[in-house]
Amino acid sequence: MSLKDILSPLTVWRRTAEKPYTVIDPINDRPGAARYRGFHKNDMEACIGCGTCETICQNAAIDLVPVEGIETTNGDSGLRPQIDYGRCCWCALCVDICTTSSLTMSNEYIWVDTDPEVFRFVPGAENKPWDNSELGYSRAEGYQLLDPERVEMPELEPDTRLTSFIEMVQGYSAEQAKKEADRCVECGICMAACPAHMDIPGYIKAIRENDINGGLALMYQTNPFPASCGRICTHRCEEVCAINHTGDPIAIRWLKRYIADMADESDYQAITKTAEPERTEKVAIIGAGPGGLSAAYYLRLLGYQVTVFEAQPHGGGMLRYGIPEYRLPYDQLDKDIDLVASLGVEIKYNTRINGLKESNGPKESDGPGSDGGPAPSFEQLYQDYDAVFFSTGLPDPYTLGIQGEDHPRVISGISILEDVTAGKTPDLRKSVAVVGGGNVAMDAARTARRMGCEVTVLYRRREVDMPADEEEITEAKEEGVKFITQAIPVRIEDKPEAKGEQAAFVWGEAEMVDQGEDRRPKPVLQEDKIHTDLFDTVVPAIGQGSSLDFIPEDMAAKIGIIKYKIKVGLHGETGEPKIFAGGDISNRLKDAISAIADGHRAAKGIDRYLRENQSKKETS
Amino acid sequence: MPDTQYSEIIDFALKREKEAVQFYTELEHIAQFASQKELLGEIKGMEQGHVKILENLKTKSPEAIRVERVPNFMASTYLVEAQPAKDMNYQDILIIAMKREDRSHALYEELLQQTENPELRKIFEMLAGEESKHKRFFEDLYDKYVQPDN
Repeated sequence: MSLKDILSPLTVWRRTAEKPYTVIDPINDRPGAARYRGFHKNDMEACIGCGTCETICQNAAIDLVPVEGIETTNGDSGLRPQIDYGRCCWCALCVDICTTSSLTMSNEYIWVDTDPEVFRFVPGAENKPWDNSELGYSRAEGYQLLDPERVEMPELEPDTRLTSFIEMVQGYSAEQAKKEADRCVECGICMAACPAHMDIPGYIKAIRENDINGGLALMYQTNPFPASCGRICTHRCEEVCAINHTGDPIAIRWLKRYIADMADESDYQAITKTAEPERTEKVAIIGAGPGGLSAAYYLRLLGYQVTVFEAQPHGGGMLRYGIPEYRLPYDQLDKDIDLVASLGVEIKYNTRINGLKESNGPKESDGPGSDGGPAPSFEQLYQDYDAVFFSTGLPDPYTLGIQGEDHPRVISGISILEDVTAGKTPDLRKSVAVVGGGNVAMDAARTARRMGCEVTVLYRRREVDMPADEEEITEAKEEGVKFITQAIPVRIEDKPEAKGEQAAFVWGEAEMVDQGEDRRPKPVLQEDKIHTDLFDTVVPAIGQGSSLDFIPEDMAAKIGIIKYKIKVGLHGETGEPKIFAGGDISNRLKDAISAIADGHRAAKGIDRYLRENQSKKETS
Repeated sequence: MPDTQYSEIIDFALKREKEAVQFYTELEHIAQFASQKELLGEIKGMEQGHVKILENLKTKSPEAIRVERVPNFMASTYLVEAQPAKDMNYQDILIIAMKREDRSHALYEELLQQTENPELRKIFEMLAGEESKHKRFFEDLYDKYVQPDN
């Protein structure tokens, strides 16, 4: 043993006089770097539980789980990400993809616990020391894994639009549709918001995979009006689209239209064919609108013998008689209707059901599908069929209810749209005032513009309160429609000099009175701010009501009518077991897709009712 | 205020409410369709409820009366009176109801202006308040269901 060997261990003692090399208090003395990828944070209010983080995680470290206090709402799954730190590799892809930017990372990296279960935790659900940490990783501004911008839809220029009723939206090319479809994260939040619960991620995926027929088949599972809804759907799905939180929502409606446009009509039947055997039970449907035909389609797929009774010479209901052709071309609507009829659904047009004991003849006898025979009463249908579904919509326009409304220059918005559909030219002349702020008002105004009129829309509330689709308002403005908001109708006068050829529309300025959260403010007339404007035509378009006169009183009592609406159960059941109803006469949303969903649900309800009946007969 | 006077005023209001019940009963007979009758029956039921409230008031002292006022948004002021008819629709029935409540409200307001007696004023204020609440109820229905787009 050398002297060095003896002395060397003692040299270690030198260190006792030096500064320590280890960190004494690592938690406080050695924080993570400013953009360190440490423990996750999640803004529980901003998070919508879309699950995109779960999908992108390469280690399957994230699960979406229910969390106490978080409810499922429209646009929020009610779930929140749970992260398993035994699997997480801290790559931060979850943060980069987060559609709401709610998920971030702190710069904390030390967490000591003897219970291994705690390391599978839901950020934001329980208080953690790093919750308020300002440092840590978050997506850098401008950095996006997702494309926030929607592929612009080619449209006709406003000046061109005004020259005809040609469809203004031109549709996506295959390249555009695929690019737009690529933006979808397939979270499915949209499915819950869609009244028909269409498999939206599924058919968008079909576009990406160029499987048009597969996409069409998916759409027909819950909606037999893809060509129509691809154009005029109220697209509630887009309002809740996860991408909408940091960018433009996916153009779901236009993608639906793309599939319907691309699918070959000759393939439609093969795509939608049914394997169900024929059944002998007969179902009567009153109204060939979206609700009635949706019920007819799904009942027919189940094998039932379906007859639809329609008062008008053509099908589609308000889709045809309430929506102008520049938004929904008739051939596209007919494509949807023809498919339903091609399955063997009999549609009797020009057949207005009435509630009288004695049958009346058809109103018009030479329309397509009319057999010229007598129209049955509601009671007759009840007697002759195994089940009845009615979806007769809201055909009766309400009036302004003000003095002078019987002036000859007052024409309802709905009647203008009906006239144009029927190929007639409404007598609008030059200056037109449209009263109302809903879609019918916008459609009437834009129709009048296409007929060369100068159009002013007057609405009682503010523009932000208008129930019309935002794009309808924007497009109306592009087309030169003028808007006067906070304008309350007072009366209509006949100025002597106008000799009945013009109507003096008297309106007053409204002051908006707040009604608290979730309620529209009330417009209150300021009687000292009254205006009078002369118009060639005044067009009320403030709302429509149901027409339930065809239901006999004794039957109505059983069915259940509340405030001119039919009271129905989840599957369209009324108080009378054999009778089902749906669409605008019973639902709150009053749009085509809700009526379609009602028709589908009612078909299931009718199927269950008839099968139960059959079982009873077999056992008795 | 003498008890008899208080009782007389309540009786007067009761008479008006009973007249309203009778009015809607007659309208039910005029109406042709089940949907009309259902709505008229509902309104009649409300008026019967008002009768009960007033009958209960008779047993209370004027001091126990609670006055509730709601602002007048004049939503029905410029609407034209609808006439009872067998084919009246939802809009017509609501206008009839609003106008009736409006007239009752105006009557109690008028009576309120004509008296200085604080106890009488309180009763008239209460009655006017009740009528304006009823009118407001129908106005809200009108706003929501008849003119949702306006």
